[in-house]
Amino acid sequence: MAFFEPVPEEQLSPESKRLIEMARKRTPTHTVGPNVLSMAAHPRVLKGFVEVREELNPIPSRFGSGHYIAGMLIAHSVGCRACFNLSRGWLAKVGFDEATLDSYCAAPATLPLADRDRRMVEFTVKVACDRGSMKPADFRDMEQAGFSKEDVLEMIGVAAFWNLATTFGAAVDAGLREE
Amino acid sequence: MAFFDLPKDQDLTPESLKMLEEYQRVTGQKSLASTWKLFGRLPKIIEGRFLAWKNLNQEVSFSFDARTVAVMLIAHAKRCQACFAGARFQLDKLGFDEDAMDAMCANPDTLPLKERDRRFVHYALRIATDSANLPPKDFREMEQAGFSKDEILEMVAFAAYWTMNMVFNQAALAGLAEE
Repeated sequence: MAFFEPVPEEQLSPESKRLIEMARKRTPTHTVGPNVLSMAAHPRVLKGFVEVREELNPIPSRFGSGHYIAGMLIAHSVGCRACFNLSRGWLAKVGFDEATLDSYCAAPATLPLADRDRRMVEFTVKVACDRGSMKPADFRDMEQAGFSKEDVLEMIGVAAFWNLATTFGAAVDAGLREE
Repeated sequence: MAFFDLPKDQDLTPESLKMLEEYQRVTGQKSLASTWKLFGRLPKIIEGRFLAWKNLNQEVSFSFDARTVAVMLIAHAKRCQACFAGARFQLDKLGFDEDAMDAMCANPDTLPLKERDRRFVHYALRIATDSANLPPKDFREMEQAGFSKDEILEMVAFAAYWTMNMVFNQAALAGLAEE
């Protein structure tokens, strides 16, 4: 028996229903995963998660698919199955095939993307997973590549969001597994 | 010269300014942290961080002392200088001296806290630093230790919030560092 359980739709409070609907509209299949439905047991936690996602990882994004490629690589790096599957599902919906996505995960340092997209993804993954090694020069490189300061701040927001989501996702996923 | 400069108050939207002022007031800071003000250029980031801070960090069932010790230890593990200093500033106000704080960082398994607080800190630290490796049985263990399912979701949310916040703070400090 699993520790957490998704809250059945008919038991959702009106506020949780509204938030679940917001979450559902973002997904390519208009469904939400069991981890989001489990959060509905605690409406304030669900609210915190859904609202921060809307603000930091909006759809559509100024980075196109880049924010989900970054999300997939961050989830792959930290071992969050729920976020990995969510990102892959979204990327599949917009036309990426499995083999291409597998190749991104296998060689994240040499992504065969357009230069601007590749830089966005690499910078975001670095902020999420290796920010201790970041230097002022990393920011200047982004500026020289044509990104504005606002773009860079938004990439930090995307990286920060995926750290929140992968921590949430991996922990709730563990609580949803059968013992 | 640093890559980022801080926006002036008059450059912020009234909504952002209001949220930043509330954050500063509640956290008792003499001046607003640069790691928050920097993001004032993008109101949606301020809104996302502020809502997450309120819903996932402030309005939770655990004592302020326990939460602050948890933040210090998570920051110590993740090497987030800003959060570490901020948590120690708060703990100093609560009456913990430097030696006591150093001892907690050196040995997080023997914290001078009440049993419930000690267990909260233990699990929050574990979730924040290694959520991908949580076994399902850990949740039963938390329940047997007296935490309800709602409290366990709050604990996950708290840990997730701080992993996110540390990305913002560490990346901001890197971009604000002089070259």
